Amino acid sequence: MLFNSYQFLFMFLPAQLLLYYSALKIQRNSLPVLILLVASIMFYSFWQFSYLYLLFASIMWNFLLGQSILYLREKNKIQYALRVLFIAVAGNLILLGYFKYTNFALNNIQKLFGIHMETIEIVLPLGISFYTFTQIAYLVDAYRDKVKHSSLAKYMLFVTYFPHLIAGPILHHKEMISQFSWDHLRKQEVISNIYIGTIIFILGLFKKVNIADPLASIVNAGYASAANLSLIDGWITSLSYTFQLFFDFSGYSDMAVGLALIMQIRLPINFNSPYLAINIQDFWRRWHITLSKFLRDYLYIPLGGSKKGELITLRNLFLTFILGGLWHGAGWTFIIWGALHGMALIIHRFWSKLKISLNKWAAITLTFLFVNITWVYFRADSIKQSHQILKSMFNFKTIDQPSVLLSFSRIIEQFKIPGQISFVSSLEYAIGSAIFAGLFAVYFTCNNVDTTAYKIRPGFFSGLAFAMLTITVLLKLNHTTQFLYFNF
Amino acid sequence: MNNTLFITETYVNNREKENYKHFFFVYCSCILVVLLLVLLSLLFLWRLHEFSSYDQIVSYQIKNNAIYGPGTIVDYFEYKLKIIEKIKPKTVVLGSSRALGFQSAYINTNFVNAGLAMRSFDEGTLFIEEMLKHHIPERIIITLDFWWFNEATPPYTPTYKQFDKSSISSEKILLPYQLIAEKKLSLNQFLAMALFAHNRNSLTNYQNIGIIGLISSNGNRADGSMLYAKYALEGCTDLDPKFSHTAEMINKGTGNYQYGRHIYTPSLKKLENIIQICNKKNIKVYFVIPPIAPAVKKMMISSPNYHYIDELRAYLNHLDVPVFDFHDASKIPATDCEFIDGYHSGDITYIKMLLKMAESSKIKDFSSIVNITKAKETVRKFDGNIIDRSDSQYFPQQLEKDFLLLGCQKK
Repeated sequence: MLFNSYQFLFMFLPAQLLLYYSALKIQRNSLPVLILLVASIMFYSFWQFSYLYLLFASIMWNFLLGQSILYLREKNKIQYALRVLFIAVAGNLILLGYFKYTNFALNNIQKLFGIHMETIEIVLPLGISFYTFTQIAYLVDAYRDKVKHSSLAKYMLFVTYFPHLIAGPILHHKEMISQFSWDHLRKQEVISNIYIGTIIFILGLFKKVNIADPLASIVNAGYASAANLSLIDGWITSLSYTFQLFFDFSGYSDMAVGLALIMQIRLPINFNSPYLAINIQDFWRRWHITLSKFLRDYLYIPLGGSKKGELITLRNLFLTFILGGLWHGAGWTFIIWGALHGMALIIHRFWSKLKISLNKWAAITLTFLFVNITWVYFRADSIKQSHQILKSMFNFKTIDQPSVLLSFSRIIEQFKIPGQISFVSSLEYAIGSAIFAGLFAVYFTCNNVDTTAYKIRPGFFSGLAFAMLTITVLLKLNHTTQFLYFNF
Repeated sequence: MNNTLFITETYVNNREKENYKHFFFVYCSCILVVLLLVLLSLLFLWRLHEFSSYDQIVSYQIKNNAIYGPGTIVDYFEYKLKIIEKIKPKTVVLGSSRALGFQSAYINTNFVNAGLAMRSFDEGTLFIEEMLKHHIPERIIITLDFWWFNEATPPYTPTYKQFDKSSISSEKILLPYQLIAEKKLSLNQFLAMALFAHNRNSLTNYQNIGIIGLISSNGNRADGSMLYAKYALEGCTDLDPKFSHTAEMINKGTGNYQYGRHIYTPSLKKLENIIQICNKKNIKVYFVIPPIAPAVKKMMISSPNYHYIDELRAYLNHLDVPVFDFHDASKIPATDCEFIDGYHSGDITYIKMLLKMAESSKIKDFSSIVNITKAKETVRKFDGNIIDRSDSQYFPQQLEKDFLLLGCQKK
């Protein structure tokens, strides 16, 4: 059940909100939490009922060991607490490693040593990367004495809370648990939060359905013919993916934030106009913010951060990003992508010391071009395919070849509504939709959905405008695809 | 974690609360209107069984003697299998759309028309194999289309189990409104069906399921045979007026009228394979070559490009299996007025074909299977027509329409 599906929007969400607000009205402390918890478990079950046991097992493992760490800390048994932490984190990493990296490891051992090894049929449990990292952060924070005891129900809700469960943002126990209380909920400006949350959700949905999904057809066609692309089509393919990924992932994050706010819960913002970054360090403060903060706080800093000399710092940067790349997927393309970003950060470190400042727009362009090129590795099925795309992007011999990918008919096909209603011809509607989506994409590359939501004054006209926006999205819902970050 | 970005908290005064309420009133009203339209459409489609499984459709048809004319894609393979599973017929007719004219009303045994479940030899073989897993009939009558034996005919790829009939999509939801906009469905009919499940129309007294069934009773009867009410009763003239579309295809050698000098021998092997499958299960198999309209036959004879059909007829008439060659409609006899288009004839022609088969000495027991008295009575009453209106309770309308624009005098 995707956020962008009829079942979610017209069945699951209304029922869940009705029960939730009824519970809030009754003013029973634990009831809203229980309702959200049940809804979250049902949401996950729709996706993958067979792996619910794994989610529960992971939750119990981390909750019990987390409580043990807190207890040992209270008793000042720091060494024991550290051992429990290692065991707990190791358990999480083993789980993640098994499901995500077993076949990658087997394939590489096979290639390296020439030993024939059968791959195992392993289905990746949905959201495992996200809920594993979320709980590792909880365990480490418990050791650092940054979390308090909480009930199992609240902890389970913290992990399974359905707006974030499948594809983030990666949440922090301290920031979330306090929100799952009647004290917090009754202080909220309910109608304002529902309004802002609705706006953010609709804008996020539009990003996914009307921008990311239409771009997918160009991206898929481009990568399918990677060996034969002209220069123009090479750039069209890479740029289309750069924006597809952004609008898909940020759209999902916006929907998660919007949904949570409708329920009076605040989730962290995950994107802050990343393609306006002035350097690679700035980019990682704007792109998948919760992941980069996690990598900084739970990998980079424990490795020593920048406090153990220049060489160690560079090592830590590089290693953090290699592992960050590996987290995204079990493949050499992801490792290369991570390594490139790691190297870029190292170069940036040296560049910063030179204290040479570039023109702002030159800096933005350079950063964007780098990010765009590295996304090619991120999307490619293999290193060979990524090199084919990159080669086409710099093959000036084909500069005069026209584009095959960017055809009028391909674009229009993505924006047509099904059927032919006589008062709105498909072609006129499609052209209008395409232009609107283009303008929308330009605006939301440079601006954030959450800040935009505050600028939209509630009233008759905004109500009408957002109703029209919602209807255009609803018309396209059954043509949409799964979110890209679900693969991680 | 420091410096995590979160949504700003806001503080709202009463005037702003009024603005929020205006927003939600307008927003929710618009969405509710759309939802209402969507719900009406869903109700309409649901009541017409456009989301139902074939099991549910067949059960409804058998119980209510209803016509099934769907507005969405049909998996005829699965649909006809379901009818066979329910009825467990002793006699099955199998073939393309040119098999659809045979009706159970004139067969004395349990009967199912599995027309449209065999649009190629491969599909037909697969259908028989699937059918035999659930039921073994006593006899199968297979209609053979001449273009199956022509190498130049574009191949047909079976679509068995390739789509989910029950899925809800925006195409389906918008379909009723599209038909209303095109004036193919009246608003009254739409609302009557959605709100009151009123599933009859002015053309027949059948209960109808499926959008096309509701509009014109054009669709499959409970036994799987076809009722062409849209053309014969409604008078829709866009199919093949004066056989002009057929003439164009013959002139250009397109569609199923591709030119061919000789039989495509792999097809003969596939035919033999079907015979063997049936023989292994002691199923009697008969072949029928359905007729083409006399005017169309004239066009094809005058063209030198269809020699393979003559070869085919000669080959089939020497098979060990009983073959009924009705390719020449004048032998039935059937006139152009009894045709729906160049190669689909109406109910009356098929009844005449049954009578010929019953009279023939090729099959000893066939005369006991055909209800000869009823068949002769129907032919007497409706000779020259398309539709069998012998069951008058279902047909309030008196005259058929001359939808082929041939100047036909209908009864």
